[in-house]
Amino acid sequence: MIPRRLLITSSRFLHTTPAACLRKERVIATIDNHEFHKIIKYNRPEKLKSWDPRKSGDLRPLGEIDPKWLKFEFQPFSEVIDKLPEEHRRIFTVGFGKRSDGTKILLQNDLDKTRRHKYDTTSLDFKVTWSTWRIRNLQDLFAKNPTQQRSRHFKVKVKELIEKRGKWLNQMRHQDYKRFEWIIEVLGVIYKNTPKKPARVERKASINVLVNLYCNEMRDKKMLEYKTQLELEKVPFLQTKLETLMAIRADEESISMPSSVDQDIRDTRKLLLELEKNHMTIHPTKITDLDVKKMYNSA
Amino acid sequence: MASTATSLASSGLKLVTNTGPKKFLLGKCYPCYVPKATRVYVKMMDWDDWLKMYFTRFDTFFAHDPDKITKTGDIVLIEQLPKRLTRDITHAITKVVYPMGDIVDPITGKKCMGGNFREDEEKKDRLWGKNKNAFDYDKAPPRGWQEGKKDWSHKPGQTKFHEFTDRDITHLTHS
Repeated sequence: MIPRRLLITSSRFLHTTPAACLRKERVIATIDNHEFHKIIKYNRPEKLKSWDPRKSGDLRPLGEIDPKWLKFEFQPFSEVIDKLPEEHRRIFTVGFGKRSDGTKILLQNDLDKTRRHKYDTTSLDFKVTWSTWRIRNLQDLFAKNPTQQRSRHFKVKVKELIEKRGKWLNQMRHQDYKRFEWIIEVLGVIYKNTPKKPARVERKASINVLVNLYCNEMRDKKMLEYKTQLELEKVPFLQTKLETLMAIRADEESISMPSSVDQDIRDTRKLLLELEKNHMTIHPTKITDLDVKKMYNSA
Repeated sequence: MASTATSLASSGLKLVTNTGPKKFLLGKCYPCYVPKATRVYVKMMDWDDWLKMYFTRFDTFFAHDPDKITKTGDIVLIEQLPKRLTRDITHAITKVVYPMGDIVDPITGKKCMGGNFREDEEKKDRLWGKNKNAFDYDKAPPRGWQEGKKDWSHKPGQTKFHEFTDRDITHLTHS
């Protein structure tokens, strides 16, 4: 709490006075009412939790557990257990056990798709698959039980695992790019480059970026329009040029002089023929084939 | 220095010095926004005359690449253009020396995976009993089939600063 006397005397705390606050509010209001905000409206992105799948790049959830599945440790004896009556078989199923009994089977299903061989526990393929399963498992836990979000142990664990998986994927990219592309497709993970500097999202800086984007797009659009306009002007200009050249040739013939513009006429005709196709693709309504051909025939 | 130059000149040889602009450079490709170009990061050496030692310095060059033969992470050879093509582009790509993640050992001519040969890695897998669903090099398509879908490494990393409504910018990371 700032003492009252400091508020009045010291210039350091002037911005905290009610008058200064009012002034600041007024300034912000005027900025927000500016015409520019009609074109560009800044929407601050939602701040996500560190474990959020949108942030980690997981495109799929963990998957659903079927309570009728046999537990992982009893799966080798499935032939014997399946012969038992339903009441007895139920004891060996996932529905009768813990949550981890079901998730273990989901991990095995994922590993069957990616691991190099049965005893593989060290390759990057295994590490990425295992970490993806663990991340999704904890994300599922957080989504279903919001009270678990308070657990610092799990929150830190997920964040560490997401960063480790990114590191392993980057390693795989450098070693074997084809394998990297295959594994992100199989597991459903998005890979993005991490920003060099963790930048804070700020309103003013973001609006500056948006204005630059808008200006660049406007410039490109106007340049394209101007280019098409110039392209359109080419054909009428060449037509008038051809007409004048023809007139010159006629004049020269009338006074029985050798024509000096034969080459020019040939060149302009050639240019017109070349332009015909391009011109038609740009603006098919402005000039037709017939108009151009008529002119050639008359020349 | 002068004495060596004169002795070389007398013997009919030309002294090649390390100064001046380099015509050919070897560098690594990085994502870039300039159209029809790639950003190449080159390691340079700065000579400190007082300490009599070299210090590393990284320079970026924009190399002309209209057909997009390069991808991010490739080691490429670039050549200086006789005239600056645009404000940024000063070089042109001559060759992709080592494509990223698909390196061939220059001595043996075998494909590598990290520090090992692919053959040896596959031999190990076969010894343990290879998984049928595991990755297969023969079936794999060439690099780039996930670009813009799940692999966004061709775009520079950037934090998401605005909720766009008119376009989808997937490569931005959430803060």
